[in-house]
Amino acid sequence: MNTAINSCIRIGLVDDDIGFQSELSTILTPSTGILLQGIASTRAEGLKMLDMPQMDVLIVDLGLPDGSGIDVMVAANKKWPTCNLMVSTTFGDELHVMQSLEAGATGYLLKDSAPKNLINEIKSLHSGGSPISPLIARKILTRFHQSPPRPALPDNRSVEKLKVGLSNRELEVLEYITKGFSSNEIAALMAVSPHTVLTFIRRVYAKLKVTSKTEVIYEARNQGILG
Amino acid sequence: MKNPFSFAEDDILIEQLRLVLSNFRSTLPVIVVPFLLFWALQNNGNMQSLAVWCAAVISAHLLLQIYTRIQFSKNIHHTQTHKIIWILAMLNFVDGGLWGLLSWIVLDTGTQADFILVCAVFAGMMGGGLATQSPIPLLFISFSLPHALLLSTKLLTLHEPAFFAIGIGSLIVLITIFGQVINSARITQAGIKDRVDLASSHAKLRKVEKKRTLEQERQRLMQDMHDGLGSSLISALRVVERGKMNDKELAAVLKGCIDDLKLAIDSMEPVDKNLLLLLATLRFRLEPRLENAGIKLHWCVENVPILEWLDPKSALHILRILQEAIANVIKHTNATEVTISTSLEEGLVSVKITDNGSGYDVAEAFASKGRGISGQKYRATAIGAEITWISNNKGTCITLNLPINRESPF
Repeated sequence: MNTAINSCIRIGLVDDDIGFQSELSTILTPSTGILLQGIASTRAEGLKMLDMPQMDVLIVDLGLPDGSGIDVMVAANKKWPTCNLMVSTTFGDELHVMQSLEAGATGYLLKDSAPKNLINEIKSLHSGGSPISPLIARKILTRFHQSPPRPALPDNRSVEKLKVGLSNRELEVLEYITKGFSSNEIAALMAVSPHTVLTFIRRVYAKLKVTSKTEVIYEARNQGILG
Repeated sequence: MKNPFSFAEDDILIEQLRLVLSNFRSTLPVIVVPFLLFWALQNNGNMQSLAVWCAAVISAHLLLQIYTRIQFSKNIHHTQTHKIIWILAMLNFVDGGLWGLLSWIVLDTGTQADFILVCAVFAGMMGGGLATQSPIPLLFISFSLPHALLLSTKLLTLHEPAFFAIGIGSLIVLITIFGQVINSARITQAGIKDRVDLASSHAKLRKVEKKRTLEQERQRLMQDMHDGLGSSLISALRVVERGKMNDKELAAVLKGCIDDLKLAIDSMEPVDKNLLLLLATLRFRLEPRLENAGIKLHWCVENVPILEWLDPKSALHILRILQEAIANVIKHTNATEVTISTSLEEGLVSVKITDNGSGYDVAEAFASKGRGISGQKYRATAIGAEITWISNNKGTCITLNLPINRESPF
């Protein structure tokens, strides 16, 4: 029994939606291999939860009653560096998801998914896979497409240092996603394993986090120059 | 410009001021002139006064330079413009007066070479003032007037017809150049005004355009909420009120509403006229539903050209047509497999949804009062597309043919 619990995926939930809280605590029984170890309903409780021992997956809602879930994600990045962050969202719309990806999330959970799908999503994120919608893939492609030409920056050397590009294989995966192909279909089309495809997507997420930092630096400098 | 000393509107005045500041920075070499004058004129016995003058004029010029450079490096705010101009005018007045004093220190009837030198300095300063300060006449006059007045009064006191004539002449030169300054200021101001007006009319146009787009988008969403989500919820409410719906059916209706909402949200994201991206979004949204119904989806899309006419409104029509088609497969056909494919045929982009279900009578489906199939037909017509159904007991194939180029607006 002890070993079974040790091999479980330990997850925390920061979400004020009571329906979703009870849904997760009902479906996540030890037999699913996922253990719900902590529930927080507010930003403050979420930040406090980070004092507990590190969990494997943290699911965070963006719109918390006392502030933004983004803060919790940013703090979790520092305190629980190997924890997988997931944003819980109703619609999986671009605004919510892109913000979370930039704050370090590597996936998202649609709240209205069937119980079986909820469990699968959490497991697949934990084992290294990250789902991605075509619209988000498109957004990421344009983001990376637009970011290299920044002639307004004063210091060219620092641009080189900050510039993070996508590899051809990563671009290829994103292009296939925008055409509607699933991870398994993309793996077949590119003659690689499905796991490799998920690794590519993971790397894209990581690079997205880095570019969002460079954007902040760029913006700050730009403000400094203008103001 | 009616009165050369009245200030223009803020935006224009700031530009004028920046022009003067930028011009003035190039006058740093003028600092050499007092040294040259000191060196050339020191023999006429007034050396001490000349040294004091030299120090004063250099300090005044340096002060002007420093002030100009500091202001030029900052963003000038509307509220500061007048203050800066008045300070510049005062500094100019002192500087011009000092240059004018030169004649009082060194000129005497006997020294013709000195006289030529002083007049040359006067001419040079007038020309320099014209070049640097013409965008704001007040600054020019605050520098030139004391200079010219001091020079000409000194010349008039020398009681010699030639000096007298040149003293009057220097005043005439001042007046002529001042006419030039006003002309040039007028042209500069008109140029700046055109630029400012153009920028503001562009901004206005953009604002109008944005408002129009928002209005269209709002109407489109209202229409969709009304026809889709709104009517689904109302019919569900009626059935629930009559107690005729069980929990499972209610859940199905609510799921349908959420799907409706998700597609409406997706249609607000720009799809860049890319049909495949639109279909991909639909797959992403609806595949969990197919999976839960035990239906396997085959994705057989091939690249199709960009559809220039594919705006959010048309995109939502296409999404709704295909959503309805997939909902029908799940609800009515007992299919186990469904294939979504795209192809390019005779100048048309063709989207096909094929299932292996039990099929249905298309004519009968049209005749039945439900919104489903006739709604699809209506939406297809609305975007200039054609939709056809072929159905038998081995399955159904729905074909949506979209034009690549759509000329007339729909």
